[in-house]
Amino acid sequence: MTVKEEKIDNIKSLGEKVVSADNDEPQIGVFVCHCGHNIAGTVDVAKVAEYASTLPNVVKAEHYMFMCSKPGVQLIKDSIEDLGVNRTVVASCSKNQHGRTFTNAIEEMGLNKHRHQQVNVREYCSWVHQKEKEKATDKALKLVEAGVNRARKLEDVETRKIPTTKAALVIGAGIAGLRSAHDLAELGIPVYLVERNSTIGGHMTQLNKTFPTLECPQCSISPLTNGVANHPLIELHTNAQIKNVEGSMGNFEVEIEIKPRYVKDNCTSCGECAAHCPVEVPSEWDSGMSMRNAIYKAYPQAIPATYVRDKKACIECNTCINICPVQAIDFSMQPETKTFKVGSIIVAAGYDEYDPTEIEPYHYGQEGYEDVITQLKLERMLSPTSLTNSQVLRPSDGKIPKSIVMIQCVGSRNDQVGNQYCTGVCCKFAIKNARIVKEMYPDSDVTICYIDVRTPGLNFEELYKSAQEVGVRFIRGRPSEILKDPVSEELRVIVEDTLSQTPLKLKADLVVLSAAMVPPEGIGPLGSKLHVLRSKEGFLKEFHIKMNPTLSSKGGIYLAGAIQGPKDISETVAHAGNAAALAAAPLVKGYIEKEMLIPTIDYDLCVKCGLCKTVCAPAAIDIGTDGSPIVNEIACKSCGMCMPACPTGAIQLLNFLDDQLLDEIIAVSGGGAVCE
Amino acid sequence: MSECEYIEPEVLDKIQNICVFMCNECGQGSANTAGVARMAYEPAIRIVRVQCTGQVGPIQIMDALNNGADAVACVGCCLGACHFFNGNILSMHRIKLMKKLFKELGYSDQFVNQYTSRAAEGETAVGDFEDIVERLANAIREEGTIKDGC
Repeated sequence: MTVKEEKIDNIKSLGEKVVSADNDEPQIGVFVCHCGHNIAGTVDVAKVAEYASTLPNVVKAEHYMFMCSKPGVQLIKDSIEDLGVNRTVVASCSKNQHGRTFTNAIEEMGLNKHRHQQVNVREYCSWVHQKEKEKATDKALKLVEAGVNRARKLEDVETRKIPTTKAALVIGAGIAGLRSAHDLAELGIPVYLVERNSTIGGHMTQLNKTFPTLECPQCSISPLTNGVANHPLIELHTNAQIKNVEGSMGNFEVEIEIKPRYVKDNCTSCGECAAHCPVEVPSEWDSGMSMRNAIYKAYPQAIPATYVRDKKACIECNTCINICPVQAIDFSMQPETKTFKVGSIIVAAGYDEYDPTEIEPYHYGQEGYEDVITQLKLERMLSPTSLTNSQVLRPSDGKIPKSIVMIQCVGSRNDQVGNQYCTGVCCKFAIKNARIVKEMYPDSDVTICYIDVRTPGLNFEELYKSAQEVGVRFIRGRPSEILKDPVSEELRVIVEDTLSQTPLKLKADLVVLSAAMVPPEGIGPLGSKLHVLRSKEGFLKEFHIKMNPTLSSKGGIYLAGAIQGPKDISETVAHAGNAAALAAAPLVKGYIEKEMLIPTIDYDLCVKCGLCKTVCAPAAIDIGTDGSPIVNEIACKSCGMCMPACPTGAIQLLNFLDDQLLDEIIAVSGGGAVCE
Repeated sequence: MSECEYIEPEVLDKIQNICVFMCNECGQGSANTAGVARMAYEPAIRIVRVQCTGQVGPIQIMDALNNGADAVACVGCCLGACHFFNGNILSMHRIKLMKKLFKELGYSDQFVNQYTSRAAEGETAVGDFEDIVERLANAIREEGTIKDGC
């Protein structure tokens, strides 16, 4: 590696062209590979080499049996040593296959690896035109000429070592954020964990049982919540939000705002304050299934255990201040901002349950339809700490429902709502809850109205089967409406059983809507602060759906869990672990290596229109104080999208300059201008 | 080629150079896969490597046509799978505008096209190439080559 150590501190030298100063005349060596019979069997390699030798600046043109073999590579090395070749063209296989072999060879001889041009005459020519040998040779000539033309103006590209800040930020302390933060801390990386709510644990703590094994989620997550809260390397900030993010991969500067709890850390969580608080509001953590006070702890096992005051609900009667045995309550606390430097950011902001009020025919949340609830509310009812004592009771009259109807795909797979995606977990948790309810009340009818039952994966089909066995009824059809019988005041679910094509009117004492997972509230502002792209559904967009579903659109910012798309807990944990590993890599190594294949801006031509900034997906172009764009070398991904956007051609990607591409295009297009 | 549509030899003779800009990721990948699978296509197809189809602007397209290319195409990743986030969509919009321009200038809008391909499937690249040739052959039959109109 020819990395210039002295350039390490030179990170901020923006706009400076990183090209070697030598203006030497290009001396091009062309090497045509036979690749056994793979190329030579179709293409007349001798003719290609002969033609190449007639091209300007070509000092050596040769053909050899196997260029990738040791003698082949030696040919290249000898030409560099003996003839002063400073740009090499190898016409052989694809860049992916042996490009590295040749760039390594010229690097060993002291040339920059970007001075090598690979011409693919095997995959793009000889292998696909085996029956047309003449035309294939003709094409190979053109391709080699294009390669030589392109090589002529190739410039050195520097590889720079950029030191990274050994610390990470994790946004969101749900299961994904906790997993990532813990994994990072175990690697010895200091972690700042920022959570919007007053407690950590997220949605998982709200659940009753986790599928498919019907385990207690609270018990599964508590080692992690305790581990994170007590880890010496994890700095936990609850009630905090991201205010500003600056910098790029390896070196971010993050500003957070911490809202006051109005309760100091010496709180012993004795609960005296809450017991005497006169204000009661629905508990958010309990999905509105119970009440909390204005000074409260979300749930008894909450971490941090400190109580928190809801300033909006508080009537400032000062009862809690007077009653607190350790004088921990202080209403004069102010919000504080904190700034820290981190190298990687993991976004684990999770999801929200879809609010079905939008779907008018289901009357969710409307007067007289209290018995239409969501799955999360049912989970809360079933949970061991619930107000109903783990019983399923109708919210309207507190009776045990005789018939329960669950409606699948509420808010997902629904074009009217605008969510085309399948959440993927609703079938699983609906089946799980249906089974639990049916086992609790064998006399009750439990029906699931589904479009398709989607239970892929190990153990899930078994869960589906077991629910069928205990007597859960499955009806294929999406209910059109939930009606209230005007006489009996009972709910009726209107659905067509599409398998038997019979319209049904199901009597329902309790209707449970399996609401979709949607992007969390406030993800828009957070995304714009982080400069990451979002998918059309609103989740944060991953770098590549198959090859890197954890990296966001911006280098150094990783996604963990449901923020990238709906996931169940197992998938979330795996995703979060991957995010931690990827985020840790540059921090453990201490530096990132970056090829400075970046655009340069000719400020004499620049008209300061800012178009390059609008097309730049990784947000690597900043607008300076005088309105002119500045390329952030570290954030740049070398895609070159800014080039055609520029109306004056002022911004040009190194080694992909307009005139370099023109040279290549002239050769492949047949050469010779048609219109003059 | 002949499986899809028969192209007369006199039309095929007029198709000499087709400049195809292929992105570094799925575009090049699919052409490599096609090569490995020995899927034959028209030798007039000439591939130029670019970082992303979003890098190909009107300058490059016009340069190619001006220098003797019979048609130009951009082959990028599938929509939503661009390795640089949305370069293929940018390119698609650009090619749409170029097509309008060509129509206004009185040329066929089939001289410039945008395609997508998948690195794992060589068929996608070969399908794109066949479509380029087919569309170009139709355009030549109807209106002649771009060189005739120049």
